[in-house]
Amino acid sequence: MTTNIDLEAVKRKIVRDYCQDGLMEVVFGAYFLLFGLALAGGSSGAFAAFVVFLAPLLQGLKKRFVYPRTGYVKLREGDPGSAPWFALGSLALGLVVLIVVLIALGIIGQPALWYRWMPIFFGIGMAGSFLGLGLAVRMARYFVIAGMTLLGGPTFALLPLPGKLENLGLFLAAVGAVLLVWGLIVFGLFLRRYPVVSEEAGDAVS
Amino acid sequence: MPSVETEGAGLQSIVDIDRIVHEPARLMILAVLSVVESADFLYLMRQTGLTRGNLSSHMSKLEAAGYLEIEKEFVGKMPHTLLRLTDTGREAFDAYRRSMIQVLETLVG
Repeated sequence: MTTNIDLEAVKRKIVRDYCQDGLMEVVFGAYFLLFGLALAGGSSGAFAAFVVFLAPLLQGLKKRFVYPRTGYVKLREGDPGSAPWFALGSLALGLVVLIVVLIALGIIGQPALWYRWMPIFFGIGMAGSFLGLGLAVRMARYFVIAGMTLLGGPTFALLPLPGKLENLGLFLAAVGAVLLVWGLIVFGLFLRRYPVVSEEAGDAVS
Repeated sequence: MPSVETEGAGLQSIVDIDRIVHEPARLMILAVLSVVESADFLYLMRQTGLTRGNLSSHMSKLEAAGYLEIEKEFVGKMPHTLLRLTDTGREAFDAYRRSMIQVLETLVG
């Protein structure tokens, strides 16, 4: 049993190290910022399709900046860690309850108002993802981001804006801006902490 | 109170412990590789805190035992060594963990 717990700790540390460079926040932050501004500006939602390029972009950046410093690792399928399903499940349940309440109040059913509440749904979904990640790797910054998205949803939903998707667009842009700035700071600290390993010390197996 | 025969059988498992795995540095390497798909030399150096020579030597022993698969390639002009556990290595590591639990349970009573 003790051995199992130790291996879980090794696994958690590896996943935490994988997230320590802040590049995930930079990439997703930039995407949310641009996507949110496009939505708020009335541009086509086709920009959403660019989400498929985020993972290759993240890998490319890691290959260029991270692996020469800390080494390459490929995580196993199913990581990060044991999924904290109770957190994700409770948020999903909260979302269902919220939708039921909105239907009961007659708010959903009127498309104009339905769009107004979109930031709340997106906020809950994003909070669930970041909370799950935070619980898996035990990094405080993900809890802060989860709280920010959870509170930001209702705040932006209540803003009196004329367009249907402006509230959602500004919410995503705000979350993206915070993620981007935070990610850049973390990334800058990472670069200072881990200089590139010299060619001689880099790699060799006798 | 366990019988003499039972105690003997429990202690006998100490002799059967895989000595390739039992060495602390190699155990660290196997523990890291057991929870990832693959990793390179630099990553293992960072994670285990072993020196280049030390890590290289232990990796060679693990490879000779068939526990480790080493893939060498060049990224540009830089040599790049990718490591992953073989199925045999994964089984040996799991068997070692089970043996150690059994031994510790026997010793603690």
